[in-house]
Amino acid sequence: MSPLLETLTVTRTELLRILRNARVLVLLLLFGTCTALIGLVVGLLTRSLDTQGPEAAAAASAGILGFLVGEDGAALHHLSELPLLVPLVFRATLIFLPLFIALLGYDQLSGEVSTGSVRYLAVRSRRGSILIGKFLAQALVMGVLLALVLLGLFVAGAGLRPGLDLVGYAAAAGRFWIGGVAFAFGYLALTALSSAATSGPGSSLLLNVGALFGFWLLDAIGGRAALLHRMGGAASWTEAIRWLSPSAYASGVLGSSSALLTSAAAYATFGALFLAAAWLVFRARDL
Amino acid sequence: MRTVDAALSFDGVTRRYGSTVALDRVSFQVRPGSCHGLVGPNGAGKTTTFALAAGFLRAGTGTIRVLGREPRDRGPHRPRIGVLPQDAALPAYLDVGTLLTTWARLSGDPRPEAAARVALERVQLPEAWDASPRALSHGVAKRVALAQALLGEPALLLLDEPTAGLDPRAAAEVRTLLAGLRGQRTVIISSHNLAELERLCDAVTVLDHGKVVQDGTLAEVTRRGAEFSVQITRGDVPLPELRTLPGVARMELSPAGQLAVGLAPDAPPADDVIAAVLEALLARGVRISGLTQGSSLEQRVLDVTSGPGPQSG
Repeated sequence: MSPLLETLTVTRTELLRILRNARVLVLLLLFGTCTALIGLVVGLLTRSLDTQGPEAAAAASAGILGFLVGEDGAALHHLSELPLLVPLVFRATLIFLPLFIALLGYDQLSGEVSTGSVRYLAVRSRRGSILIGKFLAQALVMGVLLALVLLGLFVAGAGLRPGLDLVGYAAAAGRFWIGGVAFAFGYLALTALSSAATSGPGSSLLLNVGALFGFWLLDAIGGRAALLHRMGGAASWTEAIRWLSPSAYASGVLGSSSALLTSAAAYATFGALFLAAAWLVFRARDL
Repeated sequence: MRTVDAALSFDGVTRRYGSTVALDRVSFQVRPGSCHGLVGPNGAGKTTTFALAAGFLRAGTGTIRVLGREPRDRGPHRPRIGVLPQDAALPAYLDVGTLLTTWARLSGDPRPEAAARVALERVQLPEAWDASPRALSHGVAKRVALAQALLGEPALLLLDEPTAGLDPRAAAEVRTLLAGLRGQRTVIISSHNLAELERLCDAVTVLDHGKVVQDGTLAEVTRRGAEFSVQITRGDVPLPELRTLPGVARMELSPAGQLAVGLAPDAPPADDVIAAVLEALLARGVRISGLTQGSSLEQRVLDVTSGPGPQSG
């Protein structure tokens, strides 16, 4: 059997495994609830801005959008055409998305290694096909989950601003989805690596969450140094370490086309590195 | 036997788990088409040997060849092997039919569902098609796992404890199935049921504490051509007279009435010596209830092995 067919067969089986498990439904509900709660808070915030008059509201919105995407003029322009709720909630969603990805896929390999059932696959398939097949299934499910959550978000946003240009609005939704998928790719690969390197679901989740914390720490330390530098402080080498963390590229997901491309390229690179590491580990390990 | 002619060959294979040596310079070969037993106490290294042959583990040193290829080769010319792992649980997320069909597809079967149904029928479990692995008893799950090992018409079957946990009827059915495979494909069986192996296997390798302590055909290991014993029920055994018979090198009579006879290396054919001993006994009016050639495999394994090793398998 060709590696491609082998991979697709594993993907199909993994999809069945995910879809027959109640976990994906629970995660969708949790994901949706978190998004809705953030939306509620943001909705209340924007409503209070609206009460301060159109000019004050516009200025506050511009400030918030500037906080999200920096000085990216093109991004500020296209985001200002959306209800503020939409980019703000989407950006907040990106903060907890890596944790949902970890919860969705932490046991994709480690669960089967711990019970020994991976041996039924490994005796007749290349290990690379098993790894990539399972990864693809996780990516497909995450792509659909993201689409559902974005659909809900954009529908809710449309209710807040009647008379929207629907074509442009739908294009923005598609753009957000592409950005979200690129973002998720990097973290899905990190989850695959954690699962490939461990022999039990618990240790896989722990490793995944530990890695997320480590990356967050890199981003926080580097970001703080960069902020101090911008405020007139001395330049520090620690500014650069934030770029070693995937989360440093999250704002680009909402940015202009070039920022989105840069972010997508960064997540593709992180994803490829994590997947390559996962393949090396899984190929060499005992099953 | 040249390496290329062996269905499975281990040459100086060592495997450690941390500081524990699971296999220590293990070498043996399995003839194509034979049924080969792998025996030894718990911790002898049997399961490690299986896992190495299946490509689940890497050897520290030494060379392993499975059907002439590296055991981890899963490329287009991969060795066609079927494996019944000892401790692997069936995945609980799909029903038995879907699992077997998926595995048959991965094994390269052009009609995976039909192949899966045939495999289930071979283990007498067609009714398990729609069952969830969670709902299966240990014995039924073991037979489903055996069915998966048969998928893809493997040239080499590695079966780790195939009848462990089965009720007597199911175990007998599995033994009949395995006996039917003799000559069609190479079968390697690990089992603590030595009587079962004695019935099924042509050759055995005995492992103890990670080392090969006995290896050869069943006749060689059980010394069928080198000794026999006669069970005496009544009468005086003329030991001095019997010891003078041609080919007799050693003769002992146990208090339980078992007359053990060892043959000299240059003895006439064992059948002739047996006939001469029996004639002499019957001529003296000694009553006999049985005759056994060689030792039982169980006795030989007990003779050449010590207690359990440091780890299972």
